[in-house]
Amino acid sequence: MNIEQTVKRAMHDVAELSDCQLIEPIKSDTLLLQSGLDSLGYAMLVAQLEEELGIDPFTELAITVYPATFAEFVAVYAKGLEQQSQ
Amino acid sequence: MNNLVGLLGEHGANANIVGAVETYTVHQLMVYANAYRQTYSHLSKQPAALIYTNAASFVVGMLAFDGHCSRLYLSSAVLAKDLDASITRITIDLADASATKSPNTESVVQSSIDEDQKQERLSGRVTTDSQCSNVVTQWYLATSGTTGKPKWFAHTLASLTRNSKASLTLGDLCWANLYQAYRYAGLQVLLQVLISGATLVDDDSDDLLLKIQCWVNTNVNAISATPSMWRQMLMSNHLHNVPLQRITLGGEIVDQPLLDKLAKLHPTASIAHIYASTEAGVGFVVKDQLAGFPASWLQQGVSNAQLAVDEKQHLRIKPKHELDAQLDTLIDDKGYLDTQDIVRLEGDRVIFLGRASGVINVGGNKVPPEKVESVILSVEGVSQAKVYGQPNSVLGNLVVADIVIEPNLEWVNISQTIRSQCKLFLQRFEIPVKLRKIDSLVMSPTGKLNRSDDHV
Repeated sequence: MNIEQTVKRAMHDVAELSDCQLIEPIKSDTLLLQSGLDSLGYAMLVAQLEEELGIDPFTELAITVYPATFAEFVAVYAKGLEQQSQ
Repeated sequence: MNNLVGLLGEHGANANIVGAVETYTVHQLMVYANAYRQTYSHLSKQPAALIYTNAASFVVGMLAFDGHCSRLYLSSAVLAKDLDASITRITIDLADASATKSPNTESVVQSSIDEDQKQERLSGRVTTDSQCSNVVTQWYLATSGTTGKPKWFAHTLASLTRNSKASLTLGDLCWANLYQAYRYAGLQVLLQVLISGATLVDDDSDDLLLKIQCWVNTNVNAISATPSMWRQMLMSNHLHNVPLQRITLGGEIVDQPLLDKLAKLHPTASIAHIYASTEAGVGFVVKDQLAGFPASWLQQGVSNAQLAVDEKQHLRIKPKHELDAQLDTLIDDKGYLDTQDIVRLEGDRVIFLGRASGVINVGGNKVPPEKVESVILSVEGVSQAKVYGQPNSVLGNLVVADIVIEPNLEWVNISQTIRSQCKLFLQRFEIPVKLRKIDSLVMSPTGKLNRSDDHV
């Protein structure tokens, strides 16, 4: 499963757990704040992805701009995993 | 000591509150306040609870009942359920008074008054009766106790406004309203706006992008929010459109990466993080854009309090004003209050680490672990439960639970029941995001759960 699929599946899991209604479909330019997850949902998503992928890129000082869209969110994880493997 | 009306008169303050429908000046709100004070003249020297509806209406209540009632409970509709039934609840909602056109003439103020009070026609005559009152009102604010039941702490207007300042620059500020003023942080913003003669934009949208657009349209240039709220605003990618001059953070531990991100996005804004204790009614402000506070303050003190760190690494505070008698057990013989905040000295900084009581701070919401544990332990088949915070980069902490179940029972069934019970009895942020089945829990020699062991 690639990172994008992992993130999407985790979003669905978290939406169910946190009683959020995810919008469909989630596209690259979908704004995170309008995806249906609220701040608690996002906190849970970041926690779940940390368990699955072993990283929380938002604790890193290197992230200076928060992602606004789904594609940017996935890119932050892709970059984090790339840095981890180096 | 002046009451709130007198204090605003002293500062010549002319604050504005931009509501969802209408903009009110403080002078207009004073007219409403006088009318309410007359309606509730029987509450002179009696306690009352003011229920929050919106900022402008709350100001009317504060102006009307400070210096009039003996005790004034600043409350929400939910919090008021825990108050003694003998205390009169007062709900003011100016937004309902659509018929009100000109409050300073002979028009009628038709704001909604609590159901148990008969609606009355009120003359809008401007008086200064309220300035003449000699009642020193005790203001009560709620904080969550260890069982989740709110605890009410007494304050005075003097202690609540000790950090409020007025100047020409401060009067030009236009604040967003992200808190509700029945909480300590929200009340601080509202009092600052009133005393400095600034403007407060009280939009009622739940959608952050709409809120930000509203702030841009109304020239908001000052925001006070929790670190979690600031992270969410940064996620919007629209925060740079708000021309911020004042950035205030409080209610949670403030970390350095967040301060750096805000400074980079708003290089000319002044950034302050506030440490406040609702119980103690004190706060101090750190403006050097570094996490924690200077260690030298432990010797020098801050403007309204002396600070110390005890042998358990708890921050202790000795304010200049008298503390609520309920806090006696936490005050040492030198008058220092145990804030229950654990700190660590790192070089020349004092850094906050968390709460000694185990209370979990989820994005500014305090979750007492005992409350969640009692819900989990009510599920048949659960023999032990321990709830604690797991550090999280979005909301500071999330709630997780370690659970021991009775032998030979199915974890899948029990965990499902726990989840549904939690949904029934807890607020969303209180529900554990993770349930971990474990074999046993470590107890202290006194048979209590060990809350200090490391889960990470």
